[in-house]
Amino acid sequence: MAPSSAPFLNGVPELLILRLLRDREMYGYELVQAIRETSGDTIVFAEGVVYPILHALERDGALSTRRQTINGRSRVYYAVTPAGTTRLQGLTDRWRELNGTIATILERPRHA
Amino acid sequence: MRDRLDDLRELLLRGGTSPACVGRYLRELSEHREDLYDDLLAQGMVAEAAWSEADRRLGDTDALMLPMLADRRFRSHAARWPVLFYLVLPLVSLLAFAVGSVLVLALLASTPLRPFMPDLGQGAALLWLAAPVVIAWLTILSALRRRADLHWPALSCLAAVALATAMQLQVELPSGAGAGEIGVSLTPPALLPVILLATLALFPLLLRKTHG
Repeated sequence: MAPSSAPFLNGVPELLILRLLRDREMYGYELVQAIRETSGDTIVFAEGVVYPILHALERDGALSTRRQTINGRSRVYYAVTPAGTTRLQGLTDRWRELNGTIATILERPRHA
Repeated sequence: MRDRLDDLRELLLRGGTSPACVGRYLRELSEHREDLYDDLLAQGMVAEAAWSEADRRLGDTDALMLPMLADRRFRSHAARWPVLFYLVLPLVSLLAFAVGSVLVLALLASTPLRPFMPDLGQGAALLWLAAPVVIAWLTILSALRRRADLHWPALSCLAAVALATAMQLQVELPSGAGAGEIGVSLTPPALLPVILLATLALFPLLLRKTHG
């Protein structure tokens, strides 16, 4: 199998974001809150960095956006497109494969 | 006190991120920080502490800046190809304007405006002199908006002025059996028009230097 040119463990943030947006559209702050809640606050990060990922996914066609004003405050809502669903499936498969590989490595007996 | 998102804007623009991407990113960061602030206030934090915490949770400047700079898709066309954007495009625009004005004159020659062709030719020649100044200002303003290095825009302004002053347009009405003529020639430019036009073209830069 040819080695992947992707950086090590690339795609994890995209996987989380696409997975959460698959259920319902959200704006950036709402999405960050959802990541914290569903991970039980174990996934903590600089919240602003979610936006470059969202913008990149939108450029790739994986997300669509719409702006909506609620209670006088304008927000950009992100939703997964059919291309995004396909990408999510690919990332999920990759993650499961990686997860299995790492589990195998961790269970290997220690050599004397 | 200066908002650090303003500093982030400058860093991203100087890094070559397109102004549209920067504007959108900072707008969403600002809205996110306001949402965070409101939530922290609702949790009972005092205003100053809530703002400070909201700003901290947004992420430090490096964390917010690096992902944008790392993705080439957020770079402006001008940052990717500065010579093409700031030098070639303005000169091509000037040439296209010159060619277009000659074509318009040629079309007008077969209309009731035919007797006024010499005057129209002089008008077109004046526009040829104004065009590099307009193109130069647009180029410089575009570079300033992107916080780009000004060497290529300055060079393109001088090149456009030199080209425009070197191009000569002549319009002659038909005489006797001879047909009229619209002619374009290149001659060594006179120094005074070059200096005057160059000063006008680079005026935004001179103004910027004066005001700091």
